[in-house]
Amino acid sequence: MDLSNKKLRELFDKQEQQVPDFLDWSKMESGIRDKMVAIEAMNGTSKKNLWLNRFLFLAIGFLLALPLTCMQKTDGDGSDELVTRQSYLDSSASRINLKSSKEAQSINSEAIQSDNEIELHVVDQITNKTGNNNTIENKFKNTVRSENATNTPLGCVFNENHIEKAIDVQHAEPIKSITSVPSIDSRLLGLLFTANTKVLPNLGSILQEKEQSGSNHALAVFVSPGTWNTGWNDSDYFDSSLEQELWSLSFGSEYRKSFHMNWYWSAGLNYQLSESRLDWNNLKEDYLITLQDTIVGFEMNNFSQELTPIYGDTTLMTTAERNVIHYNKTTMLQLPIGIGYQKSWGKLNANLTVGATMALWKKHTGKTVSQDLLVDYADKPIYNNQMTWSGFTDLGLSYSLSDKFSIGTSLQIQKGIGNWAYPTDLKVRPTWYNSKFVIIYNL
Amino acid sequence: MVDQNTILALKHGDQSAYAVLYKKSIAYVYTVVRQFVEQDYAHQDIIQDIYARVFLNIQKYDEQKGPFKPWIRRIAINQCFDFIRKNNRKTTLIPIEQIPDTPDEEIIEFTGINDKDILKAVDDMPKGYKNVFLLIMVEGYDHQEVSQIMEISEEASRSQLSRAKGWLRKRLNYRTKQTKVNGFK
Repeated sequence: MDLSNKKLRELFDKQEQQVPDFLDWSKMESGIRDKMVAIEAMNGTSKKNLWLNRFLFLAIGFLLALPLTCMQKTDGDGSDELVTRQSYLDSSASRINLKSSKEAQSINSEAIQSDNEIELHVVDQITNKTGNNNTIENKFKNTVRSENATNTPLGCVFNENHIEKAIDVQHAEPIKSITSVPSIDSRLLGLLFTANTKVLPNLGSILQEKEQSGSNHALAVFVSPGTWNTGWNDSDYFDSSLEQELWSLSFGSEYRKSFHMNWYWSAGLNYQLSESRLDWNNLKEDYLITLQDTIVGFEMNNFSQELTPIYGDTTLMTTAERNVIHYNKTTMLQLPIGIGYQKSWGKLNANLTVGATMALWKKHTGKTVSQDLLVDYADKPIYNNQMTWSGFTDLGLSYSLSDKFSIGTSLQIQKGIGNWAYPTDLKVRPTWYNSKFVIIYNL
Repeated sequence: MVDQNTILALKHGDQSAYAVLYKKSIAYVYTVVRQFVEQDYAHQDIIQDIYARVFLNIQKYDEQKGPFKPWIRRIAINQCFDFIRKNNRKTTLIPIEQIPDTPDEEIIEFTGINDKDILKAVDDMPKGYKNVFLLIMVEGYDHQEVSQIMEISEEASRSQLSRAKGWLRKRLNYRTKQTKVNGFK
């Protein structure tokens, strides 16, 4: 530390100016206490939101894991379904024949039962109206718990839910429509295990069920252009009329899981980009310009008459007009979860989804006008930095191109829940209106 | 400035000590705020912020680590620059790059100049480099700290300090020279 710095420090440290009246404790006390409350509230809100967000993360994680768990369970049941599908595949064909030609189909099954294992020998014999016979022979080995077997006059009946494992010992000829035949009624399944019993199932309800079920899981990718509304009110800090919303674009993916008849859950990830334009004109009558280090005068040597320039700062008063056009961007990463209902008419499918979207991350870049000053959003944030929610409704139509692929379109409205604003007197509840174009893949 | 009993009372949650601390320190705090923020309308708000933070954080003040005065001064300076950052107005300046920078290490001699003139000269210093000058020469920050507080580059901090010193030197020398000229006449 040099001496001059020390001198300066001492000078400034002992300097105390006269305090103006407006800084009297009586006039300041309430303001200071208000600020203390505001600071504590902000700190408290941050901590509260931290825990709330952790809870929401866990809840959403659970919701996302649930369909996956269900999917795995269904896959397990799928091996059970294989037994019935193959057994009934030609039965469904025979039903069609039965309607037109009164021909019959018989399924003879023979079960060899040990303690907890059944080996099943099924012979399907189908006779169509042209007199051709078609015989399919299947062998299945099933493991059941003996306590779940019930002795009936017809034989031993097992509940479908208790079949832990079914092994297809010898495949029938693969047939294309095999996957589309739904699971068999558990009572019929039980009968299948009855030795030397003829079964003629009522497949009407099964075929009806087939029409309604389709695939249980679907993955969709989408892009949705649209428009939006910033949803601000005017406040002491911001003038919403200066900013005009332009467009929004979102894209992402979505997973759907049917859980009952026509109902489904959906969850996904969505990246949303929105743009607005700021138009601001500002006229300053008394605009002060400082010119640094200009010649402000001359010093004259009275003997030599030589002039030495004196440098200093000069200020000029002028009028300035400032026209500002700025394009502002709002980007968000959202996690939507919803519940929906769908209805099919042939290849056409209509669906309605309602749900909530959590904004995991938000970024707002650009400039706005606050108290007649052009400021950066980084300094005067509009959106708070917490996870915020919005509700959405999505009404869509899709068309099946094949068993696996569908294309569709939908209209979506999304509106912010609560106040998304940084803690000021501003209220922000943005709304998005998007038209969605989607490609759906049935898993 | 503020006695230990007042600090202890505050630490024990005695809210009546708020007024005592405020009255004993406001002149000092106001002086600091005025040095950095020129806008009179903002002083009340900034000072409310300063004291709100002082009262809320009084538990963190450790008298073993140093006196109260520098502690409150630092809070005051932080709040001033918080205000400056949020209200960063782009003043229109015409830079003259050709001006030879005064070396950073140069010591300004204040010998023969009275304190009042020095304070007046610093107070009159153009805003563009006054804050850098105060932070480094008076508060003892280094260029890296200044660059973080003022959100400018270290190079800009050095440049502004050089200009501030140059300006101050000219100003003080000029006054001396004028006196001499007048004396000759």
